[in-house]
Amino acid sequence: MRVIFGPVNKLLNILIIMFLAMLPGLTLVVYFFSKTVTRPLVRLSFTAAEIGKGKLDTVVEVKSKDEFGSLAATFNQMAANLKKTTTSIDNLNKEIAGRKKIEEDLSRALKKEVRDREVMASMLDDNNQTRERLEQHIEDLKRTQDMLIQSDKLASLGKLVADMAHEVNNPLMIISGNAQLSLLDESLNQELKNNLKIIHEECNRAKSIIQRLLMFSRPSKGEQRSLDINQSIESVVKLLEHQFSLSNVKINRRFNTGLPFITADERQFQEVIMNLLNNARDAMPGGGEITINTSLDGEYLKINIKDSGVGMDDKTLTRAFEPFFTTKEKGTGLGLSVCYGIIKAHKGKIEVKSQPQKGTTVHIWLPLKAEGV
Amino acid sequence: MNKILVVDDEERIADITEKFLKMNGFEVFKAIGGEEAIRLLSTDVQFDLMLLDVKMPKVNGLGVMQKKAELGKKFPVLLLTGSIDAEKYLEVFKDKGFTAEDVLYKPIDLSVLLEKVKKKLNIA
Repeated sequence: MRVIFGPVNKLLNILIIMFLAMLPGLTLVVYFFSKTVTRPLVRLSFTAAEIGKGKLDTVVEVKSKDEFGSLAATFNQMAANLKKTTTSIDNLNKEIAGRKKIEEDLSRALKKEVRDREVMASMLDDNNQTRERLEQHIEDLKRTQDMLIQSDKLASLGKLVADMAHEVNNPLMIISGNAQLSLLDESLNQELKNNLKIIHEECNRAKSIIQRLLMFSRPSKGEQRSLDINQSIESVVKLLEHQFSLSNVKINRRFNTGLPFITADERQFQEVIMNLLNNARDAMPGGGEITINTSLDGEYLKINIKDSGVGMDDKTLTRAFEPFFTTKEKGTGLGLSVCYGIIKAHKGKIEVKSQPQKGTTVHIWLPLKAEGV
Repeated sequence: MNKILVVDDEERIADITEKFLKMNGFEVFKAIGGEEAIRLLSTDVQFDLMLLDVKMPKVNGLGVMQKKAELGKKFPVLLLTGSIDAEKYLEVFKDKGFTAEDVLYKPIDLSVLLEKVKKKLNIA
C-alpha cells in the first residue's frame, strides 16, 4: 500500500510546495487582472446603469491606453452622443409642445376670427337689408312727396273749380229752367221748340261737366257698400268689351280670386275703371291689349290697368291728373282727375307709370279697412 | 190742393219752380231767402212739402231746417243745391230720415222735380 501511495504523496507535496511558491505570483496576476479587466468593466456597467437612469452626464473614468481605455472612450463618446441626441429630442419635444401651443392659440384665434367674420357678415347682411329698406323708404317718401305736391296743386285747383261750379250752376238752372218752361208752351212753333231743346240739352251737358268737376274736387261719398271688385270690374269690362273689339282692342283679365271685399261706392268705382279703360283704348289707335290685374297688396287691394299704347312722356305724365289737361282732340281733361278725386275720397292711392311707345300702367290701391270713408 | 213752400235766394230760380209747380196743379208759396222762409213757416199755413235751397246768405238751408224743427213742423223736405255741400246737411239730418234721394242738384230737370215732388206727397 505504502508502495502505491508513496509516489502520490510525493507528487502532492511537490504540488503543494509549487502552489505555495506560486501564490504571491498568482495574487499579483489576480490583482493585475482585477485592475485592468474587472474594474473597468464594473465601472462601465455602473456608468451604463447610470446612463440608463437618465444621468447622461456620467462619464467612465478609464485612463488606460489599452482596449479598455479605448472602450471607455468610445463609451463616453456614445454617452455624449446619446446626451446630445436626447437633448435634441428634448428640444424637439419642447419645440413640438411650443408649436402645439401656438397651433392651439392660432386655432382659437382662427375660430374667433371665423366667428367674428360670421357676425360681421351677418351684420353686413343686416346692413344691406337695412340699406335696401332705407332706399325703399326714401323712394316711398319721394313718391309721397311728389304725390303731396301734386295733391296740393290739385287741391287748390279743386277748390277753385268747386267754387266756380257752384257759381255756374245757379245761372245754368235759370237758363235750363226757363227753356224747359217755354217748351211746355204748346203754342210755340217747331223751330223755336228745337232751339229751346238745344238750350236744355246743352245745359245738361254743362251740368254733367260741372258734376264731374265737383266729384274731382270733393267727391261725393255716395252709397258705400261692400264690394267685390272683380265682379264690379267684370261688369264694366262686359259693357265695353264688344265696343273695344271693334277697335281691335282686347281686354285681358288677370283677376286674383278670393280677394276680400272692400267698402266703396260702386258707381264711382266703376266710373274710375271705365275712365281708365277708355283712356287705355284711346292710347291704342291701331288696336292692342289691355290687361287688368287685381291682387292683394298688404292692407290694400291693388288694381293694375296696363295698355300697350303710345305712352306718355314725363312732362305729360306730371300733368296727367290736372283737370282740363288733355292730349285728346275731343277730351274734356276730366277723366283722370275724376279718378284721382274718387280714389282719394276712398282713402286710396292712384299712380300712373308710362314711357313713350311703351304703354301706360295705372296702379290703384284701395284700403281694405276704409276708416273715415 | 197740396201746398208747397219754395225757398231759394235766387228769385229767378224760385220763379221757375213756382211757375212749373203751379202748372202742375200745386199751390205754391215762394220765399226768397232763408229769413222769408222762416217768416212763412211761422204762419198758420199747413205746408205739405218744402223745396229748400241749401246755400243761401244770412239764413241757410240748415237754419231753415232748425227753425222748422223748433216749430214742430213735420212735413217733408226736398233739398235743392248747386253744390255738393248738401251732403254735409244730409249728414247732420241723417237721423231725421234724410237720404240722398231727398237731394236735387241744380240745374234740375223739371220732369225729375215733378216726379220727386209727387213721390214725397204720395201722389201717383
